[in-house]
Amino acid sequence: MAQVEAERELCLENTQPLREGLAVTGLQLSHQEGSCHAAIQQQRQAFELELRMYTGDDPLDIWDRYLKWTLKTYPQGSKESSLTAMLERAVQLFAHDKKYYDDPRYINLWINLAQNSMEPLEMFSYMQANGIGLTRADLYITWAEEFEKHGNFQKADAIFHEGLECRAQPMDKLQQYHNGFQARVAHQALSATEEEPEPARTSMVDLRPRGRKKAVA
Amino acid sequence: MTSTLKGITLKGSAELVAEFFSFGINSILYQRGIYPPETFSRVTQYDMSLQLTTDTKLKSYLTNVVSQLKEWLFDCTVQKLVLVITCLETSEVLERWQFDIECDKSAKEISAPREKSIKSIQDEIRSVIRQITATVTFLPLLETACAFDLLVYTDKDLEVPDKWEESGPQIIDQSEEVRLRSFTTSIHKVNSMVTYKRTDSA
Amino acid sequence: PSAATSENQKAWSVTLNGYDIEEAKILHLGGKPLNAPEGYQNNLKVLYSQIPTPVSTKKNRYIPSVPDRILDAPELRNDFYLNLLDWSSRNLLAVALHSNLYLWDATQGDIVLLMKMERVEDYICSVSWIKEGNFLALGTSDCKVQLWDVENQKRLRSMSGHTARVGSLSWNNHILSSGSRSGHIHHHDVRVADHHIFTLSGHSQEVCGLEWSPDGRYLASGGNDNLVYVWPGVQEGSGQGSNAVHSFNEHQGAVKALAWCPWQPNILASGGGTSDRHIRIWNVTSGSCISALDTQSQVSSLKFAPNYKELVSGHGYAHDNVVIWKYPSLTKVAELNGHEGRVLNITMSPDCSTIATVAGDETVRLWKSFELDPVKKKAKERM
Repeated sequence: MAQVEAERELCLENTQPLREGLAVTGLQLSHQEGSCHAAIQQQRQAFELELRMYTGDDPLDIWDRYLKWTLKTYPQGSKESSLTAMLERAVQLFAHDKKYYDDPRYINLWINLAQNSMEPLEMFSYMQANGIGLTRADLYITWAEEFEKHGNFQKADAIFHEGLECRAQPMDKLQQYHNGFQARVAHQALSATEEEPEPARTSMVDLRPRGRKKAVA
Repeated sequence: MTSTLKGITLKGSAELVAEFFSFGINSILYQRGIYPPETFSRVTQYDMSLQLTTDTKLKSYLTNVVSQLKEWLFDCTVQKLVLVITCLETSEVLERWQFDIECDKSAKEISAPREKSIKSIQDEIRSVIRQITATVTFLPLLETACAFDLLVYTDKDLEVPDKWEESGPQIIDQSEEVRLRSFTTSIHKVNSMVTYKRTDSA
Repeated sequence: PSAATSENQKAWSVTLNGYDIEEAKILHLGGKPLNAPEGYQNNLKVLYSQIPTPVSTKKNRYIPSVPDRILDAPELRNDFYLNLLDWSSRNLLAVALHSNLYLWDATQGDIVLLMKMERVEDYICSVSWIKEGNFLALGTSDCKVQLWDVENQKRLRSMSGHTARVGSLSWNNHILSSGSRSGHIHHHDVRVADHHIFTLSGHSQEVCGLEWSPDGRYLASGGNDNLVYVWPGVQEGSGQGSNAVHSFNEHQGAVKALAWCPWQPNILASGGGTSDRHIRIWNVTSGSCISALDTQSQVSSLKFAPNYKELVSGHGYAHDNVVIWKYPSLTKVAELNGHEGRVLNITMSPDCSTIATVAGDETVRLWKSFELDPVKKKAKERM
C-alpha cells in the first residue's frame, strides 16, 4: 500500500494527471537525483534486454509492460522518457503481425502514439485503413474524442456509429461513451445560447489583416 | 486562560470530527467532479478556502448523515465512514474514500478535557483536506456519470435508527490504495485512505 | 477450529470485506445513492485533454501564431518549482540549463556561458536580473544565492543562509529577496558584508513564486502550500516587515505564477497549479479578489504586457501553451501554441514587444506578440 509521502507532496505540480490514474504503488519520480536515476536506467535496460532475449510466442507482453512502466516512471511526461520513440518501435515491429490487430494491448500502444503525435486524427484514419483495432471500442472512443476536442461533433458522432456498426468490444462501454458524448453536446447547445456579448474593443490605427501563418511542427 | 481554551472534551471532539467529515465530503464531491462546480460556493475554513454544496437535496442529505454521525462519535460507537463513488449506469464501485475512526472510549468515563489545542487539531485537518485536493493529480478521471453513497461502520450491537438500513461494504476488486495523512483530537483518531479501480487500459 | 485458523479467517474477512464481519455493522441512509442532476458530465476532462476554448474573433491587431525564434535549451530541468529564465534591461536573456548559466544577447544573437556549478550534481534553481541589468542573481540547489557581475563575468558574492534549494528570487533596488524550499524568504542587502537582514516565515512548503511590486512597496510570494502572501517593503534599520499584509488562501494548487500590474501598482495577478488552474486578480490595498478565471490548465507563469494592457499566462498540463488575455476583462485575445512540453516560465523583453517562454520540450521560444504599431510607437517615443 502506498503512502502519499512527504517527498511526493513536495513535487505534486510535476506530476502529469493521467486519465487512467497513476499506479501509485512503486511510483518513482524521475526527477529525483542520483541513485534513483541509476535505478531507472537499470530498469529500462532490463526491458531492453528482455526484448532482445525473448523467445516466447507473445512478445507484445513485454511492450505492454514497458509502456506502463514508462508512463509510471515519467509522470511529468518528460522528453527523457523517450515515450514516442518507444511506441513507434513497438507499433512498427508488429505492423505485419495480424494476430495482434485486434489485441487491446496493441491498440493501446497505437492510441498512446496517436495521442502523443501532432496529427492524432491521421493516425486513427491510418489504423482504420489498415484494419487495426476495428473491433475495439477504445479506438472509436479516443478517435471520437479527438473530433470532439476540435468541435467537430458530427464527425465524432459518425465515428461512434461506425464503432457500433462494427460491434466493437466492449459494446456497453462504447454505448456508454456515446451516451456521455450526446449529453455533452446537448448541454453545450443549451448553454451556447446563454453566452453574453463581448465587450467592445478599441480598434487600432493602421490595421491590415494579414493571412495567418499555419504553425509548423 | 478562559474555559473555552482548556482543551478537548468528548463532545467537542465529536463536533470537530463531524465538521471535518462535512467539509471533507464536500471537498471530495467538488474535486472529483461528482457534482457540477457551479453548484458549490466558496467558504473559508481551517484557514483555507473550501467549497460547499448549494444543492438543496444534497445539503439536507449531508446534514442528516453528519448529525447522526456526530451522535455516534459522541457515543464512541462508530468505526468507519466510507464515501463510495459508483458508476450511475452500472453501479460498479469506482472509488472508495475510507476514514477509519479510532475512539478512545475511556473519554466516556473520564470527563476531564484532553490537552490539545483546537488550533493544532485544525492544522492537522487542513493537511488532510489539502491532500484530498491534491489527489486529482493521480486519481483516474471518472469518465461516466457517477453516484455516491455514505456508509457508516458502527459497533455490532448498535440499534439501527429510523431511515437507516444495513448495507454491503462495496469493495473494489483490483484496486490501488493510497493512504493519506491522519489526524487526532486525542479522543478520536481519523485515518484516511482512498482506493480506486485499477484500469489496466484494455 | 484452532486459534490460528480463526485468526486466519478473520484476516481473510478483513481483506475481502475491508472489515471484520463479526465486529461491525455497515449502515447507510435508506434510499438510492445520490447523484448530480441529469445531463451533468464530469468537467475534469479538461485536465487530461486539450479542449480548445474560443478566442475572441475580433482582433485588434495581428499576432503571429508562430514564434519569431526558437532556441534549443538542452538539459533544461523540467521542474515546475524553478524559475530558470529572465530577460535583462540590457537585452540579455539569462537561461539556466541544469548547472550552466547561459546568456543570449538578444541584440547580437551571441551566446555566452557565464558560469558552471562546480559540482556536477548541483543545479541552478532560479535566475533574476537587477533592474539596471549589470548584476545577475542565481539561486542554487546547494542552498546558496550567488551574485554575478555580468560584464566582467565575475562572481561577486556567494551568500549562504538557506537550508534548502533557492527556487525564487526578486530584486528591490539593493535588496535581493530569495525564496527557498524550506518555506523561508530571506532579504539580502547585497551592499553589506552581513547581507542577511531579514527572514519572512509564513510558507510551510517551497516558495516558488516571488515578486516585488514595481514601486517596491510590497513583496508577493507564492508557495507549494497553495498560499499567496503579500509582505510589506523593507524599512531601513527597523524590524518592520515581519507580518504579512495579506495572506490569500483561495488557490487550491501551488502558486508559482505572480505578476504585478505595471500601470496599476496595487494590482497583483496570481495563478494556481494543477488542482486549481485559476488566475486571480487582487487589489492589495483592500485585500480583495477582483476577479477569478478558470484557465482549465496548470498556470506556471504570468506577465503583464503594458503595450496593449494585456495579461499573458503560461500553462502546463494539459494545454502546454501561452494565452494572451485582455486586462481587466480577461477575455482571450490569442493562444500561442507550439511548445511540445509544458511552459515553465515567461519573461518579457525590455521594450515589452516580445516574450520569451521556456518549456519542458527543452526550447526557449520568442514571440513578437506586442509590437507597437508605428504611429503609437512614435507617440510613445516623443513622450
